[in-house]
Amino acid sequence: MEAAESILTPIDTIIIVAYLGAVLVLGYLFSRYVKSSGDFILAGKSLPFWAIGMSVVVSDIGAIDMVSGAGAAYKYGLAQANFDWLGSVPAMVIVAFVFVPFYWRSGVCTLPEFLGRRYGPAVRFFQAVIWLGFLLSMLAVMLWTSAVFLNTVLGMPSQAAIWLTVFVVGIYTILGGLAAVVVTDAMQMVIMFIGAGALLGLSLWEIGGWSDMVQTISAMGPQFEQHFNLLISSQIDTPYPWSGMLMGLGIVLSTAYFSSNQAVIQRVLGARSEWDAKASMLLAAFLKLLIPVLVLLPGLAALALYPELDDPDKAVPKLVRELLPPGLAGLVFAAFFAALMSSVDSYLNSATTIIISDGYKPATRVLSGKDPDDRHCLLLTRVLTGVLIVAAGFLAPYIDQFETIYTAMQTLFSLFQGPTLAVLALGVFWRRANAWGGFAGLLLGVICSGSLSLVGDKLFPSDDPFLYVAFWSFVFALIVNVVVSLLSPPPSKDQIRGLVFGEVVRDEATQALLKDRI
Amino acid sequence: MEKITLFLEQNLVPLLKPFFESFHVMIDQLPPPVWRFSICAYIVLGTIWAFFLSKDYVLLGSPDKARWRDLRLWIPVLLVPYLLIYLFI
Repeated sequence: MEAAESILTPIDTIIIVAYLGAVLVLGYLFSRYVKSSGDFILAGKSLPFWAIGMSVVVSDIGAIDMVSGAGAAYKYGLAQANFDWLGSVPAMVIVAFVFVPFYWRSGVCTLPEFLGRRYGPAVRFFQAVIWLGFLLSMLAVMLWTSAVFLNTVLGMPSQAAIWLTVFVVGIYTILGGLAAVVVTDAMQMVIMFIGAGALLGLSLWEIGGWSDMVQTISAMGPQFEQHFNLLISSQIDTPYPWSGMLMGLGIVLSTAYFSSNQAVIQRVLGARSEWDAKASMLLAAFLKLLIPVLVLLPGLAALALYPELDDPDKAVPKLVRELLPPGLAGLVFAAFFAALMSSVDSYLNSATTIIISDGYKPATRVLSGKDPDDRHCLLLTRVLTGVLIVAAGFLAPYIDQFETIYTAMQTLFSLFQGPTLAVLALGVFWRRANAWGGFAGLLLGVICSGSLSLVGDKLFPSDDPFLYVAFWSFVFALIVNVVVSLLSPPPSKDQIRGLVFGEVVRDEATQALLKDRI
Repeated sequence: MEKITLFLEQNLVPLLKPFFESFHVMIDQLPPPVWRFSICAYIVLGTIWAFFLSKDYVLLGSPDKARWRDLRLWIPVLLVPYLLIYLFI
């Protein structure tokens, strides 16, 4: 990778070093409160709603989004904002009042753990492997993104950029666990908002304001006519047609993301009360309103200022290089680090939790017939955190050589969202759903989404039909689960006690059993 | 992978195409105000039910009964900006 000349002045460097130092100090401070694996994984169930809400948002908006989200806005326009707007409401409200209380009361740590209790070990194993693969590949990609950004804009060698991130994120995550992750996320969100807001303000100042930006882009030609429309006809060549947005994103992908993503579930389960857990999701839905303004509008501003960019992903780096004065450049870099680290720490913590909760603990119970020692679990959790971030650091440079593999992996993992939501929703709401139905729904649903993806361009009105594939694979998995469950024996009352929504919410006997978990 | 794709193109596509094509032709014929109405209706219907949950359910785990802790009251405040966005942008 060819290095660029650094644009940082000494004051910028001081801001960045002070920020990184503060993050490390926070990690060290929180290490004193971590006495058990429960403290590490679920922050001892002590987190307030505002910290979780901010953490959920900032984990969702990573450095990749700051660069490629703005790049997508540069290329496709405001329709990209649907991923934060229609992608948040009503999904986050449904998750807040249905899935969050449900997970909270059933006392699980991970989605595979819940599905394992509800449907059996085959579904648990299948889901754990899917999520672990997704989280690990994303870690490597995020580290590589940091290398690309820091190399392009600062001239820092890519290896140095990767290992700097590994060191800082690894240290505070290993020391402080989820509590450190969430509190640093809250701090990082403030820095991210200030940095991104400054970049947007300066960009709009340079253009001459909002109306000048709209006029400039609209005058660029017919291909930019839709750039300020949120809803776009499917007859226009776009990956984001309105019907796909409604069916694929609104109904399936957003609900699946917030109800089944380990990084989200783990945060809300670390809340100090069920009320905090629910309130955190609603607060996050409020904060998500601002994300397109801060992350996507700089992409549109870059289009107005620099319409000749060969790669849309260079929109934000170009604005940073050209517009930011000394001091603000340091702040925006700190914001970039914040976005990057908040995502890396979340995925790292979640991957470790899945290995411990869905791999090590069940395996120990099977092999030795008893639960593993908690101190041993805590030590193993910390060691695994270190091993995973170092492994991701070694894997990161290969992402550059195998970009098509990354793209394929992203497509592959998006295939699981629809079937996972179908199996989860039926498991929660329909007591008749059984192990055979769940496994068949998940397996055949994934095969369905894989098949539709391969021939999607011939079936749907888009060359990149992932939104339609998600919706129809969800419908298919739902039907398969219902049919197979009806054709096989129902689960016994004991098997589903405390695992079905109506029972958890309304049945007093079940609530008494679960009371100690609330 | 090419063989699988070819197999699906020869067997699955002819089977599914009439259904998906008629579905999407129907969707494409809807005028833009209907798109807007559909999205707004989905947001309202998917959200407003939470306003009618029982107070006990919503407040469970809350340290006190202060009025602002009633999460049902957060719903309209959350809903309005999202609705304005999809009505006017």
